[in-house]
Parts: sequence; structure tokens; C-alpha cells
Amino acid sequence: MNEPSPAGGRPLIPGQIASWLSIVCFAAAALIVVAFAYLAVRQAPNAEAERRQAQRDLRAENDKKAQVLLTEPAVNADGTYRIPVKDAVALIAADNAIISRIQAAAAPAPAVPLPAMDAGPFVKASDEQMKRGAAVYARTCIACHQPTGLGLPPVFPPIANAPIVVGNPELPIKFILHGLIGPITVNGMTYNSMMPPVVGVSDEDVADVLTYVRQSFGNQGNAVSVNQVKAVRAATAARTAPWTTAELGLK
Amino acid sequence: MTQDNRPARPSGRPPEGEPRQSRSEALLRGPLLLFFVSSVLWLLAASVLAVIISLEQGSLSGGPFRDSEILTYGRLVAVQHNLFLYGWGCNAFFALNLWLLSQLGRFEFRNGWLATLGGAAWNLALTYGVVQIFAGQQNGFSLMEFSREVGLVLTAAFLLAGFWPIVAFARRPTGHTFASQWYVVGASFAFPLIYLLAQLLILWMPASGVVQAIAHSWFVSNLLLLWFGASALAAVYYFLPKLLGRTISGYTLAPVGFWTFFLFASWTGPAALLGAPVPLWVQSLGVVAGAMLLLPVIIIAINFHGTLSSAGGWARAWNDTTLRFVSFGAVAFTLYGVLAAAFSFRDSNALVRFTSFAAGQEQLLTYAFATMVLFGAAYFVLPRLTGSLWPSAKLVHLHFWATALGVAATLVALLGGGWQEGALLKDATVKLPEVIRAGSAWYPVLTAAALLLLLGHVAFALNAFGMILKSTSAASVGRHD
Repeated sequence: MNEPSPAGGRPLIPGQIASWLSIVCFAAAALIVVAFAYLAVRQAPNAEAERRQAQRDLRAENDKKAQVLLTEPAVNADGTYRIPVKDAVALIAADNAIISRIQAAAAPAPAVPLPAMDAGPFVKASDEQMKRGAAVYARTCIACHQPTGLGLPPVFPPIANAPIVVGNPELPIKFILHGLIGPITVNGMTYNSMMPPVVGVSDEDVADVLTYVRQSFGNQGNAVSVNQVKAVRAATAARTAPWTTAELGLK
Repeated sequence: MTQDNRPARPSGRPPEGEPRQSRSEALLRGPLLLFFVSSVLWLLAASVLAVIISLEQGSLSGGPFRDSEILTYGRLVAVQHNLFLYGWGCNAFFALNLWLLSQLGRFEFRNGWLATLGGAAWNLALTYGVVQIFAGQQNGFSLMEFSREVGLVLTAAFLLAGFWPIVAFARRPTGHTFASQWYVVGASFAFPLIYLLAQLLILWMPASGVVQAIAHSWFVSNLLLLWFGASALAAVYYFLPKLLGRTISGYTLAPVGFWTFFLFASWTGPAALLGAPVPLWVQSLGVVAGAMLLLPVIIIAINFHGTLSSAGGWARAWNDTTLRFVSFGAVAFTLYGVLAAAFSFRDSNALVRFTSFAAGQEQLLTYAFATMVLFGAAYFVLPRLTGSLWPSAKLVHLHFWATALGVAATLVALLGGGWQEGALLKDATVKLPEVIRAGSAWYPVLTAAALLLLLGHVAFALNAFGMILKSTSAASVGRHD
């Protein structure tokens, strides 16, 4: 920082500029230290980029599926034929009769007793058990299958008026214990998502909640006993993966 | 360090130089006039835009310019904000900081062309950035709207234009330092660091998620307090003792005030994020820093108001143009510090959140404090640079009253309106349209205040440009004392 003596001739870098340069270097050093610290603690750019790429891929795939649904006819898993949404909308809009039929269908249907498949006459479960079942339902099932039991089409299938629910209790017990994965058609609509296994429920809970479900939302199925649940649990004790619809023969 | 520069200097003065202008001032004249003229031009542009903005805000149908895409509210606000702070504030502080530390460090600036180059680059980059915003390209971060390339040029220009005060400090002849020097050196180091780091964290290698919001709040509070606030504090620390002819009272506290100011002011940013989805400890950090900021604010208030209060200081300040502006700013700073501390607490902050209160606080800091101090400094420095007198005393009075009343009205409307709006929003029985109606009652006040400020700035610009032109056209008649 010393002023050059007049006798020493002109220095290569004048004193003021040398001071300026050293100050700039000092600031740059401070900046580099802090910036390096930031880059070191920051999330690895690869992970970030991969996450973004995965999100982009997923979005593109969903867009493609939606496009197919909207524009192309398709065959359902059970062999029924499905027309594109836009054609369906056009058809419906053009025909008042269809609209009135849809409205009639949407109106609350008179509770038609579904035939209980495996058991004798319908026996109403006790209020006690129904209450316990409702509590378990509110704790574990309600988020997907909804308070109405109607699910959230097209992701979560309904359990109201669903033949599987009121049929042989072995299947719903299996679903609850280990989950279910794969395409399944309920009341004419195909669902393809996953039901996770319900953890932390006792055999009594499973029996109660199934009894509640089989006797609510317009369902009329007989109560499920704890022994039935115990039997299924024992028989499937070795299983770790969710059931698939294919191996259970469901469509 | 408050002595005048006029006594004969050992090096002697060149006989052909301006007779009553010190040599260091003669050397500074070129770059300082460039900074000053460009800052005033940007100030005029910003205040015209502020009038248009207030008209647009006050009109439900969008104001007189609603059909012009360029003049849409979002673009105008960004341009006005940037022009006011980077155009007017930064240019003016380049000039003032350099002048101040040249005086205090007896610095003879021999590389004016470098600072001039920096000033030219700064203003060109600013112009380019503003054109970009008008064309519809801006980043969604307040005060970082310019594209990132412009940010780099601005930083480089700052190194060229804004680091000379530090050079003056480093090459000062004596070991003794004065409060003004600490604040200017701190401010000059703070700007490039916070600006570049914020650019890095937000624009170049964006941090993920809410970290960007945290970084941005940190940037804004640091820019306003550590660059504008500290630079203006330096000027007050210089002009009060200089013009009153006495020492700063409680000066032994000043170092504590300086270090606590730089320590706590840099952490107050997250208080702006109270209630936002950022970690609670980050918000609490802002609250704590805001409360601790009271310490330097009290020390600085003792320094300023103590100096002004003894022996008729206020009366003398009122009768001196520079001191009138500067003491206005000193009072505003104390007010700002108290408000900032009081409204960083969770309960009081919840009341004024999402209202115009924060804008009022910023206006208090950047206008009532920093800009008024800059005006006062201009009345002191410019005659010494140009060697001539201010042409019109009437315009000086008009300038003071228009800006003082204008900023007071703005503050009442923004702070009072924000408070009222917050109280109404908090009351669940009041419907939202009523809240909006109550808030819009303040818009005529804001428009009138914007017009007043524009009037004051035009008076200031006429006076200043008249003086500069006079000094360059006619033979210089010596320095105004």
C-alpha cells in the first residue's frame, strides 16, 4: 500500500489500482468460499435432475393415457366395448332420452337385496358389532372408499353394491390382510390401482369392519366371524406381497 | 475527523487549478458528476412511473393506461422499484460514498476513468434490464427482476464504480478511522457479496423450494439495510458533526452500534416470511434479529439525536438546507428501527401481514431516511464539485416541502392504511369487499403524494442541472460557502 517514491519511476500497476485489485480479490475470495459452501451442502444436481425427469416422464405417460381415453375406442378387461369420451359426450348431448336415463340411474336406487352367495338367510348383525365396524371403517377405509362406500371413480372402486364384497368373505379378508393390485371391474367400470394392506388391525377388527361393510351402503351380506378371519390369516401367513387380480381370477 | 479540508495542505495546490476547490474534489469531479446526473435522471423517471402506478392502483377499471401492454401494473412496479433503488439510490451512493471517503481519507483519486467506466456500465446494464422488463421478461423475485446476465454486469460495474471508497480507506494516511468510514466500507463490501450470492442461489443454481424464498428475503433485507441503510448512516455520521461543529455525543458507543447493526441487520430478512411454509426456526431467527436490531438503533439514536439536541442543534439544523434534510432522515431511521422491531414480533406481524404495511416500512427506510439524506448531501457536495451556487432558493424550499410532505403522506397512507386493512381482515365478520373499499380510500392520498414527490424531484433536478450547466458554461466564480 506504500506510495511509490518519485525516484522509483512508474510502477507497472499504479498504487491505487493495486489496492483496488487486492480488495476485489478479497471480495472474490469471500464470495468463492461462501459459494463453495453452498454448492457443497446443496442437493446433488443429479438427484434433482433425475427426480425432475421422472416427473416429466410420468406426466407424459398420463397425458398419453388420457389422450387415448378421449379419442380411441378400447376394449375393457371383461370384453365390453368402450367408446371414446368425446364421442360418448356427443351422443349423450344429442339424445335427451339418454340424459333422462342417466338421471334416473343417478337417482338413489331402491335398495335391491343382492343375493348372498354363500350363506343362508340374511341375519342382521348386532348394533354393537356394527358400531365397532364403523369405527374401524372410519379409521382405515374411509379415505379411499369414502363415507358413502362409493369410492372415487376412476381410482378407488366402490364397495356399495359390489358383488365381491357381499360374496365369499375369503376374498375381502385377503384384500385387507395383504392388499390387492391389478385391474378389476366393479359394476361395469375398470379400476387399475392398488389397495395397500391394512396394517395394525386385529382379527376382530377385520371381522367387524367386513360385517359393517357387508351390511351398510345397501349391501346385504351375512356377518363375518373372527374364526373365518383367523383361518384366512393362518392359510396365507407366508404371503408378503399383495394379491394380484390375475392370481385370484378376478377381472 | 470532522476537520475541514481547506487548510493548506503540505503537497501544495497547483496554481492553475480552481482557486477554492480542493484538489481531491477537482479530481473527483468527472465521475461524481456522471453518477449524480444519471441518478437524478433515474429518479425523475422513477417518480413519473410512480404517479402512473398510483393512478393504476387507485382505479378499479385499470386507470388511464389500461390498454397499453407495456404500462401494465406488473411491469411498471418492477421497473419503478428497480429504477428507484438501482438507478437513483446506487448511483447517488456511488458518488456520495466516494466523496465522503475521499474527504475523510485525504484520497486523491487518479483513476477516475475506471469509476467512470463502471458508472457507464452500470447505467447501460440498468437500461437494458429495464427494457427487458418493459418487453415482458422478468424474474419473479422483487429487486432481482433483471435477467441473470444483467446481474453479472451490474456486479462487475459495482466493482469498478463502488470499490473506490474502500481504496480510499485502505490508503488513508492516518491510522485513525471515523464512523462514516466503517459504514461505507461495510456497505461497499456488502453489496457485491449479497447481490452475487442471491443471484447464485436463485437464478444460476437455484436452491430447491422454499430455500429460494428464504434466500430472497435475506437478499432484500441485506440490500436495503446493509447497502442503502449503512451508506446513508455514514452520511449522517459525517454531516451532523461537520455542520453543527461539535463532536458526536456518545461516540464511544458508535463502534458497538456499527458491529451490532451489521450483525443483526443481516438476519432480519426471514421476519418477512412469518406464517409462510418455511421452518419455524428460520422465522424465529428473523424475529430475534429484528428485536436485537433495537440495540444499534438505540445507539445510533443516541449518537444522532444527542448531537442534535444539545445547544440549539435542532434550530440550527432547521435553518441549514443540508442539515434539515439529514436530520429528517435521522429521525426517520429511528422510527424505522422501532417499527421494524415492533412488527417483527409474531402477534403484531400477523395483524399487518398481506397489507401495505411492509411497503410503508420499506418506503420509510429507502425514502424518508436514505433519499432525504442523499438530498441533504447533494446540497452540500454539489456546490463544492461545480464551484457555483444553487441557482434558486425558492426551488430548494419547494423541494424540501414537496418531498417531506409527500413522503409523510405516503407513509401515513401505507402504514395507516395497512394497519386498518389488517384490523379489518382479522375481523371475521367483515366481508372482503368492505376491506378492499376501506383500503381503496387511501389511493387518492397516495396519488397526491406521488404527484408531490414528482414536483419536489423536478424542482431539485431543475436546480441541480441549472447549477451544473452554469458551472460548465460560465467561468467558475469559486466555491459556495
